[in-house]
Amino acid sequence: MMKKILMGFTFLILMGLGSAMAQNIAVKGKVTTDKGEPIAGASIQVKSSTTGAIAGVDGSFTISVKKGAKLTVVAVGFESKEVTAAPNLDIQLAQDIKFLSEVVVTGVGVARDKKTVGIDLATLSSKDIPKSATASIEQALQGKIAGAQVLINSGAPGSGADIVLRTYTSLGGSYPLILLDGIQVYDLYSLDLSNIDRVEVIKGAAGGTLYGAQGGNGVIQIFTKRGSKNSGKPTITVGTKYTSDNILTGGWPLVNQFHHYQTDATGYIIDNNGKPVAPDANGLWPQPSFVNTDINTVNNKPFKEATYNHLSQAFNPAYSSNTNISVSGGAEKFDYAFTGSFFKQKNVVRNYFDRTNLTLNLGVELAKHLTLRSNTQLILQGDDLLNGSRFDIIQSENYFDFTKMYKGFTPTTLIKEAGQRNPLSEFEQHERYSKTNRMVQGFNLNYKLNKFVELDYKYGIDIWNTENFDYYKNQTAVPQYISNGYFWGNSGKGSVRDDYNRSTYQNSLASLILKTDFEKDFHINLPITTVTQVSYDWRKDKRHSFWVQGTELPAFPPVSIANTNTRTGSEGAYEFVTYGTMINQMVDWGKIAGAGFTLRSDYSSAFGQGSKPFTFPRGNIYIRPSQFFTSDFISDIKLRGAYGEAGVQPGAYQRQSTIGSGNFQGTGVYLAIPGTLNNPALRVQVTSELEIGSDIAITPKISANWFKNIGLTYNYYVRQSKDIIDQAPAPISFGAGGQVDNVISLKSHGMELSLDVAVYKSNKFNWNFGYRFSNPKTEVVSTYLGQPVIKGAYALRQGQNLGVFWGQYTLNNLNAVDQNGTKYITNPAGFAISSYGNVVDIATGKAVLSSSNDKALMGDPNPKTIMNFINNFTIMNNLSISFQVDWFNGNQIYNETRQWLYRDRRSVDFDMPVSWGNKAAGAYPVYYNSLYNSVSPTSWFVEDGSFVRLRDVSVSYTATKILGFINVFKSATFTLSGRNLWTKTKYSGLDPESVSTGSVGRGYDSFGFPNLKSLQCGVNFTF
Amino acid sequence: MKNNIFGFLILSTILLLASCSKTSLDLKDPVSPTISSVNSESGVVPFALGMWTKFAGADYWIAAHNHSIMGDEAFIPWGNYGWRWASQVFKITLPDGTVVTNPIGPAQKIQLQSTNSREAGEYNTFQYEWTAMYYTIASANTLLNVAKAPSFTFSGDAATKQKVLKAWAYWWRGWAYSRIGSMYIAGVVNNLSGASNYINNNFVSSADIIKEANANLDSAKTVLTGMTTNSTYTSMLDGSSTSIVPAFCNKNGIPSPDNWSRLCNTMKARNLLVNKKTKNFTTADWLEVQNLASTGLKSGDVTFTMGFTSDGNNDIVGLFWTPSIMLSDNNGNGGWLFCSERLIQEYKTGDARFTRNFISDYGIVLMNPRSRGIQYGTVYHAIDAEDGGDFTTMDNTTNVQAYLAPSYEENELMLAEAKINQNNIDAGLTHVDNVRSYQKASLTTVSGKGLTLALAKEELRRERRVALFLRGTAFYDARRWNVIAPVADGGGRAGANILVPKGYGTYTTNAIRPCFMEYNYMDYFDVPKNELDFNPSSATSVPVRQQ
Repeated sequence: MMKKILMGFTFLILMGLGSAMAQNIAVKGKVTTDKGEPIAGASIQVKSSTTGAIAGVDGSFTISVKKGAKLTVVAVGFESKEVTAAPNLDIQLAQDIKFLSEVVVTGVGVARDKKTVGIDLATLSSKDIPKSATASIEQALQGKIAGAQVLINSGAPGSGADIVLRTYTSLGGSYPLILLDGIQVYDLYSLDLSNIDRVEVIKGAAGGTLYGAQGGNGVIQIFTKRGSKNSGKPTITVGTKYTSDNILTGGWPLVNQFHHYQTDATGYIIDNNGKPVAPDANGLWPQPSFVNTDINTVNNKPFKEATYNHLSQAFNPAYSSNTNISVSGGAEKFDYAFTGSFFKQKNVVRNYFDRTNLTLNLGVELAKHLTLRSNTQLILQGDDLLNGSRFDIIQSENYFDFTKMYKGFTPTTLIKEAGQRNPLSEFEQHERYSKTNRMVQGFNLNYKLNKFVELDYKYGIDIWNTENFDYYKNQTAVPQYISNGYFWGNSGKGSVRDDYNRSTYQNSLASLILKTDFEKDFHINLPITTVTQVSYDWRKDKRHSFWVQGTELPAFPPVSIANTNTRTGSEGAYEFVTYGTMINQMVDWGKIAGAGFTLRSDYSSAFGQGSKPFTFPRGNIYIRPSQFFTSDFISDIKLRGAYGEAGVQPGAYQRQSTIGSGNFQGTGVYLAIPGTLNNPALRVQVTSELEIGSDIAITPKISANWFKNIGLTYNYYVRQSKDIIDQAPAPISFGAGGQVDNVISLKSHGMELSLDVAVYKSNKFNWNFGYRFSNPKTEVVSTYLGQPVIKGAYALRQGQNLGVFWGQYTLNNLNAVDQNGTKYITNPAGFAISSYGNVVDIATGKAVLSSSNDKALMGDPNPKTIMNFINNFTIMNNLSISFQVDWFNGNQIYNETRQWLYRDRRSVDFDMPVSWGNKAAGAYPVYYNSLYNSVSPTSWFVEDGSFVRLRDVSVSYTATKILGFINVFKSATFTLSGRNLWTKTKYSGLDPESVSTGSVGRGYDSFGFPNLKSLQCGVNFTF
Repeated sequence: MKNNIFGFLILSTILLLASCSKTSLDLKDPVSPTISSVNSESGVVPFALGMWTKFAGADYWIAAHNHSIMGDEAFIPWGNYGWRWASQVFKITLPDGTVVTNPIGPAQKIQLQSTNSREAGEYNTFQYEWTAMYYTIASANTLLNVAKAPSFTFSGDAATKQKVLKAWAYWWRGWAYSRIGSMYIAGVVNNLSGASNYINNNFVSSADIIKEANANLDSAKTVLTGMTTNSTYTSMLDGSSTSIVPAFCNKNGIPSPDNWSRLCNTMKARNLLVNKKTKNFTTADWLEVQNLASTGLKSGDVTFTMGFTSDGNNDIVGLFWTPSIMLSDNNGNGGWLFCSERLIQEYKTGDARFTRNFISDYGIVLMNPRSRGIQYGTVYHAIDAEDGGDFTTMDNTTNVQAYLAPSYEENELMLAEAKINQNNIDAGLTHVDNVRSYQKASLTTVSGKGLTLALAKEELRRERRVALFLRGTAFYDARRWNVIAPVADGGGRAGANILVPKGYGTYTTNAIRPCFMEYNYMDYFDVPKNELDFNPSSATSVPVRQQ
């Protein structure tokens, strides 16, 4: 097979050597919007040829073409234009609301007009990135693409995102494949936001087969900004932004304002020994006395003690800055673009996160038609964040003062019996930092042999080194250590730990592209064009990590593992190789219809007994009925359908039978039967996807200004994921928990709608509106032996949605029966229905739950629908206002934070009166506490997690003529923006987005770090 | 130009060929050894060492705490791992006649059976001992499979090495079956797991499991017979790098082959003693206990325990799980496990073990926390070893050993119980005195003082509670002495000390009051669903669930 491909390669190269030359002129031009703003990345293509250029950051380009040649100018988000070549060209492109006339590449292999693509392909251009997105590319993607769920669940600086395109395809996560200029890299995390030119997204196997097994979760491709040849003076842009962050705290208090502890005659809370609660000399409090909480106890005593708002003691407003500079330009044979970004974010808890991105994008024309492009991104990231334990922040008694010091220290532990820590004291004893050096390097060698053949070779390497340093001080002089032996970390005598991780991802991709046009090339009178792509793809992921820890530090400096008494360490490794070949054949009938077929075959490492390649097919087809008629109303309709298969290979070494090992200090290495056995016969998980859809452009022409363009994209998809790898459990007497195996299958479906409307368009005022809709749903088809798969509070049961909550439920009527049909209540006179509508045992005052082996579906953390509303207004060409609203609807949250507060009778709910039967309304702690259920999942804590959030709002003013600066700046933009400023939800926790993510494990609120509400102001100058 | 094309072509070719090799795919985990490593001397010894992670891991200690709290020598008011429900007393009658029903409602059996599902997750408390024991059995099976293989060759003193490994496997397999048979209504005999994928669905009675246990203990004895403590033997047990015992688990010394054999006898005596109600014991039963125990552990013998390294670490369960960490101490550590007032009341006045080990200078330590039951309350902390105690440690660096197997004291008290019950009162009480002296109780002797049978039995009862605190016998004793039975079956405990909070009954002060406790616990646990969901019992099996 490989030999044949090579021979083909050679033949085609030799065949094309004799291409001719003609007399050319140099064209210098600039592509701008109708408002004069440069359009970076616009593509200038000589019609019917492979010659082209790309506009630089300032919109300028140069190209050498035949006199009188026609140039096609295309840019994402703009209507394309055809112009005749002239030495100086000033090309203005109108904004294209239809989003159909883009040149796209992801999932189609060879760049082509989006109008003739048979799969769904979503795009985002740099100008669509919300102004309030300052920290990450993930922020920029939130809510922009129908069907792409970008879940950011923490306001901690540097938090990544869980990205799910459409639905979940496996249990281990469904993170998409990330490409940076055609090369696979680890992930989006820490890549520079400021040098993005555009983003393309395909959402599943129907498009992703092209990228091998990993493409089954969809693909996100980032294209970075480039310079332009012969641009003369370099273009320099400088921008800076300041952000103010606060945590989101929700609309309700979390904790009680009253109590029911025992008090003395003056109303002060007493301890079990009858004394008013007070800290000892070292800040340690006794347990308050709440014995004898009988059925009539009411939570209605005001605190006579001073109380503190722990959220505001722990979280403070924080400020961050983001500065970037870019220089771009080029000469006759090369172009360059350099970007530097400097981001420093103060955490709302304390300390800093910072990141520097340095990017250099160089293009060199080595010879006629032979170009080399190098893209280097250097990322230096670090932080010394300490986030504190949010459990203790929320769970602490109202009268604890986190900030008070005793004998010069804030106490390590606040209360003895519960062992509850003072989260702020950790900062006195704990220091850490993390430093990441990441370099992403891509090379692309492209040779356009002749009009038939193009050879392309890409090589990329993503090198990622991280060091984590963690240091707990020697605390033997801390009062609470002396009195009680309390300390932070592993040892009261201190510890130092260093973790080092080195990861390298390499991707090598060689392609041969063959294009034919039957009319022009073969003089056959058929409007057929073909594109054939043959690729060989090789990828290698190699990781190594090790750590060393020293405990028991001496009292003297310096802090070093070298000076510790006892040292331990270990290491981990991961290596994965895959390679394969792909052939992708596309045939078009004019602009009317086309069909493509792909076959991809991949080997992957750790093959054990199953060393066969996995082969995946793909096919797609489109037809454009709009080519058969002319309409004033509909300018374009495309119907398309695609089917593809892809999947996930087993993890590294999962096919190799290994044995557990460890080390006993003083003796040495031991071996043991592992908890879960590996499986040499593991197969690749396979996801298949059928996608049908339509792209429609409507031009109503009902008014000169209103509704000039409407673009509509619709998709329906059905997915099946088979052979999903999980543990096939075994009985305990087997001797291990089970064996990894291909045991679960899932199916999912949903639809997506994207609508873009030019609501109003005039010289002075433009209003564009965008709408995104999706309703993903994943169902469990089969499990191992049909048995439910238990994953904590989640149970995968055949026929139910993936990731649902499963637990005990509150009885809601006196005739309730268990799963065997047995009545729960045999003496109805002893029970009543509470004002919340659930059954209460009159004798005990306790809510009645189903038994712990009678569990039921409690809720689904996956939203039924996700909608996004995007509005952009432009006034007088230089003032623009935009806002984006995201709406997650129909998802539930399991509020475990609230459940824990029920344990200590400290939820705000305990202040709320409840009544049943003849019992007078009162805030009865016995009733609420009976629902705690030892943090076992209970329907009581399932809440509606729907929310509407004002994700982004921004006002931006661009000045091209500023008094005094007119000769210095080409333009200056001033921006005010805000993120997450307003939320509407019924959810009672701090932030409905601050919940766990993942296919099985989503939607749990468990003391997460809330997201941030932030305000930005920024300026941007172009020189 | 031609050069460029040529270069490109060559480059492509090299890359294609270089990355095409299928051998590049066969990647081996550079960190984890393979199962074949066990089939060599350098691997089989570390594998025998690794069995500690199975029989002394977290699952084992969770179960061990169940024994402590259901035997009411300690209590845990927290719900983790189902502890709170395992030790939920059914009813408590205060001295004024007030009856306090537990805040959950039903008796322990109904509660525990309701959490016997995989969905109950960590709350299914039936699963822990089962898991630790069957994982131990699978490891022992694998070890025997290797150690018994005729083809297996050892260097040097091969005979001793092979025998130690076989004794190790038989002993722990016997120990594990003993615990299954002494705790579960039914079990499976599976001496092929681990080494093969064999699953046995024929569940047999606990008595049959005990038979299998004793057979394994006998096999261990057979292997140990005639062995001597030579240098090879020592090097395999002394905590050195060739040892199957970690350095931090042999602080009390290493058992000689004879000592180990005696340990097997003591284990067999326990198996007999604890699996039959004492009231049903016949003279023949007592004689058999006496015979076994008389060949059991002697003064100065050691048993298998677990401790800490000099820097306070324990590489088996970390700084958690063992009683010395979890028991609430006088320095404010622990807070999981608390000593029971019903243990404290067993100490005789003047017992140095009490003053050495318990202190109440913090007033009330814990009282009916979160209103989970008034049996959860004490005014006592354990005193750390650093302050002179025996059971807990402040920074884990002192030698506090956690017991995995029977000890000399347990053997002595079995002899005492057997003799007293055969009306050989003073001979029996001599063993009680031996234990008190061994544990430095500073109590006057009771043998030869003319104690009645009833008083002698009471001395024995109290001594077992005190001397064997945290040694894993409390639940067995409560069961065989009928304490945990329902009142209707003669169960319950009168005069049980409880820290009664004010407001209960007619009481207006917090005070320790003698109450009547009806525990009403299951005698034997059901087989956990974690087993049955994937290994349903065969038609010929005995019941796997208490009716």
